[in-house]
Amino acid sequence: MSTSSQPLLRVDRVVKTYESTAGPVHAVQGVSLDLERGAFAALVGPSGCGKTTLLNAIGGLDRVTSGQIWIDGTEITALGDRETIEFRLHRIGFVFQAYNLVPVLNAWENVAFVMELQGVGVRDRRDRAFELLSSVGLAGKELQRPAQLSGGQQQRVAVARALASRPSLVLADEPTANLDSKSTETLLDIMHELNRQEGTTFLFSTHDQRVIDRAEQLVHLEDGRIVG
Amino acid sequence: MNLLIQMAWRNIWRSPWRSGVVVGAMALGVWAGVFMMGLAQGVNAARTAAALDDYVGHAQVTDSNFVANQEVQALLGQPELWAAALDAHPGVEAWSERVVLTAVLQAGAASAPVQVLAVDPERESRVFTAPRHVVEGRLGSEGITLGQKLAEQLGAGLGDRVVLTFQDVRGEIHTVLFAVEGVYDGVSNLVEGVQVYAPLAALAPELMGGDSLVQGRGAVHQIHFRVRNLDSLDATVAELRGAVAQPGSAIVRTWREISPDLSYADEVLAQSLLLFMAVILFAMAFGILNTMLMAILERTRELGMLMAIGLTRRKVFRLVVWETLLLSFAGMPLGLLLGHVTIAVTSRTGITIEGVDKGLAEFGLQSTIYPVSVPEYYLPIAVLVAVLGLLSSLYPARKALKLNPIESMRVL
Repeated sequence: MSTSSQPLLRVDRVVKTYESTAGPVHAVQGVSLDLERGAFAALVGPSGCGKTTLLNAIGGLDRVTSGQIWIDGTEITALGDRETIEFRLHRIGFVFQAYNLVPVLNAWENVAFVMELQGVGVRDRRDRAFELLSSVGLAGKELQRPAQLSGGQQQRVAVARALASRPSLVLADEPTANLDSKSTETLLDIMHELNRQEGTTFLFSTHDQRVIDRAEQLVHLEDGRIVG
Repeated sequence: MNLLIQMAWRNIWRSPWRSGVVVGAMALGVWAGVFMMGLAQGVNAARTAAALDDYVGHAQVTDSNFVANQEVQALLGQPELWAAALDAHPGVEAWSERVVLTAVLQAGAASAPVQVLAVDPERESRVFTAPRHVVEGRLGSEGITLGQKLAEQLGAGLGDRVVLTFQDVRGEIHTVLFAVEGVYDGVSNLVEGVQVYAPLAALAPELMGGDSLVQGRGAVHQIHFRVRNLDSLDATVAELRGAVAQPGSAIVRTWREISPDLSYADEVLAQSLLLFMAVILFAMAFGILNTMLMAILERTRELGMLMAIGLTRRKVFRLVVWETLLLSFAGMPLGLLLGHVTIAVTSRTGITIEGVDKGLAEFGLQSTIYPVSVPEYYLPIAVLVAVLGLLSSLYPARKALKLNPIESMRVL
């Protein structure tokens, strides 16, 4: 099923229902969407509309209640736990709201960590990490630990880390929520440039207008449903 | 180096104080354990050395039947050939012949069962230190020498006459009158209470029932000898075993065969010391386990993120195990080094324990103890640390395995 004519991401009638003490919570209710290869898209909507839940389901971090998700020709909703982890490692990059870098690793080690898990050799992963850090404007900061970097710089390291494994899809959950305007603009410029240069597909979840303005495809969610 | 191991090592130092306390405690525990091992080995080595010098000797030539049943008739054959062989061997420092009898000693109205060691005083004092501990008179060449305890028990003193009654080789009862010529201070009350020295030259003819063919050196149960270098004892004994062409039932035995309890004590001590060390380390393992549980709890969010980006559960397990092992091992080299240095210093200066001189003397020990270096225990200690580190990592690692990436990343 992996052909260039098909969408990189296909979400087909996905439902996610949580059980809570107050009864079932219908976080995602029959969402379907397609994302083309090389897209720069955003899931938008108010807090609690199901953006993060859908993003987690697409990233294989959470199981769907029903429906199917295809990424690059693989139905990830049909994969077992171990296969899902393996798939995530090689095909999906993550950027989190709170950066989530490993504090005991320096910038290049944080970027190289995923490559180490993939079994890439030391020299190759070091070269690639330095190259990626340079492309996000952090040349010269390779040996600095997260605590020595600003929030914007940390998020740029996180972007470099997300791209380290050469993934088909980068999922970014509210990546600018903790950044000031200038850092947000810089980060968006970098991600857009990488999207163009490497053809990596980006999918954000956000309610930040600055991200919405830069996105080339918008998926509006409300109460777990697509509204536009 | 593997990034996972580097990460594990750096993670330890995220809470320098907390990890420092664990590392320090481990160093202290290992130091205490090693030092106690050295001290115990020192006590044991001193006890063994004192026993060899006082009453066991380094080795002996005797008749195998005498070893089996202590019968008075089981005399050593061709003692003059053995004596010549001992004289000729360069590794032998001195030797001393003995007749060993069980007898009854009577002094006035009092009597006591005794073990008589009939010896040549001069030769005996070259092999054993016991004859040098004569506190009154001397180790007699004509009279009998009693232990302090026995002298007190019998009410006998220097110059008093005592009667020794024993069975000769023909099974006939002999009585010999001796004067008390010396009183010795023995290695223990037990020895002092039963062991007496008599002159070999006077007793040997009596033992043979007055047989004129057997005189002096002819009646011998044992020849004890002392070697110049105890480390080469086995080689010396092996050479002596072939020194007499037709040894008959004569055998040459090392101190380990003469007094197996002494060498058993070495083995028992080795096991006990390792057990002692294991108890110390077992207690420490709980501290390590607690530290690791706290570390996992604090890093729940980070571990969730790592699992989200592709760290498998197997690698999460491995990360926690590495971290625990490194934490366990961090203090061990320091503890070993401190223990080694402490023993190296105190083995020269000695450690004097005040107020227990008499108690120690009962075991043939001086009040100053010289610890002995114990490098042979370092590897077993390292293995113990590894095993206990591994065991204490299992519970925290299991906790980490149960983390769910999404729920973990929600933890603040």
